[in-house]
Amino acid sequence: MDLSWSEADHQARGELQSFECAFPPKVSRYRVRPHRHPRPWQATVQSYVRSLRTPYIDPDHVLIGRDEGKIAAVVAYCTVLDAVEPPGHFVKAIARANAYRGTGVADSAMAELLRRLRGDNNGFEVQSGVYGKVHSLNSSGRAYMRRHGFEAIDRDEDYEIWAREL
Amino acid sequence: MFEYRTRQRRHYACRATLGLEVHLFFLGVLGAARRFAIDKSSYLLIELWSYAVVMSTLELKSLVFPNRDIAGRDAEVGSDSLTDEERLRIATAYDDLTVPTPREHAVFTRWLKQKSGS
Repeated sequence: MDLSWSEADHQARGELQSFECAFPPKVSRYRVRPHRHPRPWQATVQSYVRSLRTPYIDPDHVLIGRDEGKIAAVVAYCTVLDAVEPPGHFVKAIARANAYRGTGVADSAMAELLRRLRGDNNGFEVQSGVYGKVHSLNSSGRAYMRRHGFEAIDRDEDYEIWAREL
Repeated sequence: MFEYRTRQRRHYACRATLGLEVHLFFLGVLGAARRFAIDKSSYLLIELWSYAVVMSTLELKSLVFPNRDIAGRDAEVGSDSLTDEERLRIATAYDDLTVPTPREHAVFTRWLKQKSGS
């Protein structure tokens, strides 16, 4: 699916605050029992996207993919610089709006992210890579990363680190 | 995470102001009882008083609309009647998700070096 990509600006804040990528999108407001989302990683990413206060400046980036004016996908990433080590791009979140499930928007988001990272690479001449975290219970997320050439390199309590070269 | 901490700080600032307002209330009563004429100190008191009223209104707003922050936005972390444990869990999840720890970055750079070396 072709989306128009741009860095998120100040006007996008309102839309981001009502962005829905968790399914089910929202629980009822008043519940006796504490809220337990069946897919906590989705709720976490949705909370994160809603908390974004765009625009961000380099090295933080928030990309928005729009389809006919509506936000279809959000990608947040940053460049982690180290004085000694080679630089790495850390993917904070890749989120696809619920309305675009099964339309290939997430693949388009990853393709755009890799294209941008390969394109500018922040002026680095050295080899760099990109990595991100996937919740250990998120099987579709793992398959998604594998499909785009990532490999699992480490595992923490809840998250696995997936990385690939650029 | 930065946004969440900012929001949390703002929230605690409101709470602190509520305490200040109670304090100022008694000061105001004391001042009014002593003299009714508006002089310099009373003027300062009135100024502080109005500041406290504004802040307490914001505090009341946050009590009536717990899902909204001061600017009227949906405060996702504080919404959905979450318990304190849930809030803490989500805040920790924010950290886990959006900030690479030094160990994770070290793992990545080690892996990258191996890859580019091979």
